[in-house]
Amino acid sequence: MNAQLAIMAVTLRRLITRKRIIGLILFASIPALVVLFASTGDRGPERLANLYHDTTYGILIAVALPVIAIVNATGALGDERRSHTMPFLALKPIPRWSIALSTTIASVGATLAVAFVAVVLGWLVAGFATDSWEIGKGPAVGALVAAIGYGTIFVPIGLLTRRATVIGLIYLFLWESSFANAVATLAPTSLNHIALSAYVDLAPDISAADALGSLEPGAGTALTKVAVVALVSLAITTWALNKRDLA
Amino acid sequence: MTTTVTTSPTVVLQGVSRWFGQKVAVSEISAEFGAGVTGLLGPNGAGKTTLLRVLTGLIRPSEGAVSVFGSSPRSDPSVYSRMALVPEDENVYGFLSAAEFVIHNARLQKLADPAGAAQRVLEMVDLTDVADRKLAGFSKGMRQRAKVAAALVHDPEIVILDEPLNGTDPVQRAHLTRIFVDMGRQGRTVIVSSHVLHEVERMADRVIAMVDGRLAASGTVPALRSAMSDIPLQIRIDCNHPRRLAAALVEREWVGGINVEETSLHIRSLDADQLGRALPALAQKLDIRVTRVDPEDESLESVFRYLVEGR
Repeated sequence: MNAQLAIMAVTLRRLITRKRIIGLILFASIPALVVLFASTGDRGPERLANLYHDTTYGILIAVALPVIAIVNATGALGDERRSHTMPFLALKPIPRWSIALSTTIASVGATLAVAFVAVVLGWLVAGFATDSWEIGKGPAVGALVAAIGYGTIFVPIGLLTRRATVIGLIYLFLWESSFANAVATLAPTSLNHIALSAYVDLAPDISAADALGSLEPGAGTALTKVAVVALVSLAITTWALNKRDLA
Repeated sequence: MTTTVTTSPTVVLQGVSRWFGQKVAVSEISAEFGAGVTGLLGPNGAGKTTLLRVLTGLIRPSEGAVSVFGSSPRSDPSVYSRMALVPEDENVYGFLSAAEFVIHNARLQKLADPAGAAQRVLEMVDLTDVADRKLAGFSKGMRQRAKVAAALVHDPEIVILDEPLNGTDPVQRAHLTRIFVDMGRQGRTVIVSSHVLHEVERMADRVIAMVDGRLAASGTVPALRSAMSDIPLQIRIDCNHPRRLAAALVEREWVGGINVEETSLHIRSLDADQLGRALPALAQKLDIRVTRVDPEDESLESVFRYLVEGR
């Protein structure tokens, strides 16, 4: 195992503890459980599909994944600094960009692990309930975009400030849920809206499509945008590791 | 104050200062470190940890420059393959076992055989029996040894240890002290911080003393000891006839003053060695039973303050 893989492995082990992962998967699996419960009634496939998309976007993509990603991302390097274990990571003959890349991949990976379980579970439940296996594509791409976006941008913020999680939650619940929803031109500044644009591209009939604001549906564009977000985050993290105090 | 070493220095500090807002933690320190063990001595809050963090590149100096093997550790991480820090904080990755922790450090040092290197240093610090136990369940002393093992896994030429004996029991303390002394004898640069003089005395060939972020004194341990022997000390003596003993002592030229209480006297001595030699003879001659002799202000802090303010 090389140094980069070793950093990823230890960061993942720190972020994915058994209790934490069970709690997060249960939290993220709420949409699947809701559809499972609803499918035992007399709702038709169309109503079940609508319910699946409403809960998957409204709970998983808009709330659960961002919260999980913010916790993981702010902790990826922030926890090293706060728990005074940074010397075991930073005082090594490894370029700073490599430390930034490894911890960022671990942050996104920890979020994707939860997202994967939640999306696959929901996809299976909804697929059987509606007899349509196309139904899970939108949530899968939306979750991927959200995990990359939130999972990268909060890594440098976690390194730079002790209040990164609070800042993340304020961004999520104040900026994205209020301002970016209310003002259509602010939608491009919202990772949630970018994830929604990818989701809607593959599931155009969902009711949340109305919330896109000034954004156009487009999974490729959304993935490009979060790739740019990831690169900028990496650059800021590398800069912070080089220029800022690490203890 | 500048302090230099006779061998070629591996670590050079030039006018290093570090402040946090209005608080000056380290002020204009210039020093050179070379082969052998150097003790960085000072009371708690003297700025030792901040200086070591600046020296290793964990934090930036507000002013001045740090050079390790001619490079700045902050701009050239390759120097970390030749140096190591054992941080003061006892936090480690509690979810890893001791062996996993040391192997992880070996991997980050890009060693060819991380497991073999880990085995070697775990044996060195006597942790092989518990190598598979999680660090979260370790005592403070065991964690210290695990941190030392992790720091030494790549056989560094410079080893920086911030209060490495904290939390260790006397046996572990003696063991670790031997390891550090041996490393110094092998020609490595070993910098050990401590607030305990006798701890440093056992390890270091040379001592740098810090107070209030400044370099207070430096030199060999005997030289520092000698400087400290000139310091007036307040000494308490418990005995059955304090007034009689006070009357006999008051005429001596090395006695600066005496306070007498019912069962004790407090002497301000200008020469503790002279007092130590004279007291048994006087007690015998006057038939006085001395039950206790204790220095009252020989804390490191008071000694250092004297060195700083008395210069």
